[in-house]
Amino acid sequence: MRCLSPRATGLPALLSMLLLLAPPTLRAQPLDFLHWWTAGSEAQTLAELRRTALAAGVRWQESPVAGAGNANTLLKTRFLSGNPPALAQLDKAVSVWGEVVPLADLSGVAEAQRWGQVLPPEIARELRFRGKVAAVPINVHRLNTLWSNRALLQRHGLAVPRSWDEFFAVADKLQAAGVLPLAIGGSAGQKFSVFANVVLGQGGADFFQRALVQRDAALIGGPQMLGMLRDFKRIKRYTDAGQAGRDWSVATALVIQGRAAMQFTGDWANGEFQKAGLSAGRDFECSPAPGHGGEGSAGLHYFEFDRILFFQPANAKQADEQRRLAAALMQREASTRFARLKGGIPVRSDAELGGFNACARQSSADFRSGTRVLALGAQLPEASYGAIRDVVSAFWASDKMTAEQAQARLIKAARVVD
Amino acid sequence: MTTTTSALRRYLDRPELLLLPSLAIGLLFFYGFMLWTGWLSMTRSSLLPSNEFVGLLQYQRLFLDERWLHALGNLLRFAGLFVAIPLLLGLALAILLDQKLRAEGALRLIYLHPMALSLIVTGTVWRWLLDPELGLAQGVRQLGFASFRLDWLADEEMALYTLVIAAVWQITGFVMAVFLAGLRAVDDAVLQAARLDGASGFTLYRRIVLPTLGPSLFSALLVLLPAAIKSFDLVVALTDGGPGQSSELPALYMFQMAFERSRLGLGAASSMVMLMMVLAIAIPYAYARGRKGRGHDA
Repeated sequence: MRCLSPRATGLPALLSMLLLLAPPTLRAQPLDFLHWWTAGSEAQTLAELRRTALAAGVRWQESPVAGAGNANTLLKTRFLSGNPPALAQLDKAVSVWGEVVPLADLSGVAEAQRWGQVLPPEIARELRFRGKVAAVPINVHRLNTLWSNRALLQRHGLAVPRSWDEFFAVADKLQAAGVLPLAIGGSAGQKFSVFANVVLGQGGADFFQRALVQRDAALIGGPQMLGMLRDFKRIKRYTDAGQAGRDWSVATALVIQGRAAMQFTGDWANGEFQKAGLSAGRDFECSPAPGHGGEGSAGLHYFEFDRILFFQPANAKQADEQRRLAAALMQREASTRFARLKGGIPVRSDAELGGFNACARQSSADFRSGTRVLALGAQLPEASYGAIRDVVSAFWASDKMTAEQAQARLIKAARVVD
Repeated sequence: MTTTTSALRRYLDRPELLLLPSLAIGLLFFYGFMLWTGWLSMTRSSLLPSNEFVGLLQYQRLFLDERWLHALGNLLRFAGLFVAIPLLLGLALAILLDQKLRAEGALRLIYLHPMALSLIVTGTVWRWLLDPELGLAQGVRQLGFASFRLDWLADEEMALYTLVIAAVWQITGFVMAVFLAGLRAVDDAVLQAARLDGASGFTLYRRIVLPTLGPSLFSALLVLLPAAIKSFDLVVALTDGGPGQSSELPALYMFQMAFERSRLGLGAASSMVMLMMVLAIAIPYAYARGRKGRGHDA
């Protein structure tokens, strides 16, 4: 190595730089995956994806971007400049992208691997655009979980609430004892997940679908929704002022440290509890949100899922690689490994659950035999979902807005299109 | 070879040609994109730009959106305070510094220093300071005032004023510097003459000094008003428009609609409205200056 002069090392470097500058058609095109998985557990999942892709003989390349917003902006820019990636992480409905750019067709792979049988219909449907499969699911995240500090509840002689009435009773007692009943993060998503939990827990899956997904004005404007809005707002009394600008994981830390008793958030909190060395069922409880069933009876499972969207391939060779990659990602063992690293549960109903903790097992049982409800964000057009979420977070923040006013604004927001 | 050199020389002999590249870039990236945004605001663009013309539909949607109207109302309150407080504070500081203080250089540096920080840093620092649980409030509680509360960041009425506090902290030093330059430009001979006529202290300032500060006031306003309208980074770092949307300003609305919510057309419409607001300030100013310029020539 020592004998290499700077000139000798400089030449290959220069050549490789020139190669990078060459127009894309002159280069061999690897499958370029645009994503924002940059945190610890996400990076692990990514490494596993990379291994899977390379093992399948796919030429693989990653374009990481910090933050979903930035990644989406970059993705749009790359489409506008005519240099789109072959794959991208997806946080919108497949149809949102399908409407504006051409997608890949993975229907052959899906048929050969019988995705229709191994995936729940809600997910299989969501992978399609105009009849063709264009995305591959990675793992399922449960959203309707009540996380609680078991020791703290027991010290006050309280059990994990199973209904909303019980929740309010427990929260009142905790508050009287000087304990913060509910930890919550500052984001609109944290508030919306509380709202969704109230609507699902009190109205059930059918009401949720008709009122919020089909946006039935009679239901949104009805007395039942008004009561839900009132209860949603009542929950704010059990939270603290420190929620402004607080990350969901900091809220989880409050529960872990015993400074707050409960938190409503998705099963990504599972990793935080485990990282802190707590074990499910002994130190902390993960139960379905109040009114969502569980404990013997099959519960409601409100979920979203991570997925990778496949764009139209640049040539036949790339199309072939895309198909091979999709098939590899959906292998039973590979799919389970992704879920174990990322948190959440496997998408396939025939997955083994070795190595998953009690929370994930409970979630998986509810997912297979309970009532599945796909997250509102994945079911609605972005504009409608955003408008509804705006109303919910404004109502939560406001001391002046009455439930009636919030309801009137909700009716308006449900009408927002594209 | 010789032809290229002579061509280059001919080019160098015409210095105005050297401006062409930057002029072209400016035209393209500044006015070009302005026009493109204007066009987008009249199309049904959603996730990606589209060319489906829809007339003023996006503007109609914009002004039916309570969130936008609320952001405009917030801007009105924010801009009023963001202009008034730095002007008064900056003027007071400039007058104090103008008293031939010994440590003037050091003081000037201290007051100007916030300017050197980006608004993101300013926002983050103030978010920590104002954090209801961990910030200043906690410090005061540890001093023994156990029931002390400072939860403006969590209060929909007060969150907007936290933006004002941080922005004023950031910009006042600049306004002070502008006014100080104006004060220093006042002719000493005039002041001496006024003193001989018996004017002193307050009267001296009110009658002689402040009226000469007109141009300084204008330059300060011309910086402050557009800065208020395009305030974005501070909002993102300090309150993120929250709680709810109570401290949202138009620029944040534009960003969220255009880039996060796939409503590019609506976002473009809102940015055009903001452009109009800035022009409404800039054009009368340019016109007034133009008239003044002609007046001098005549």
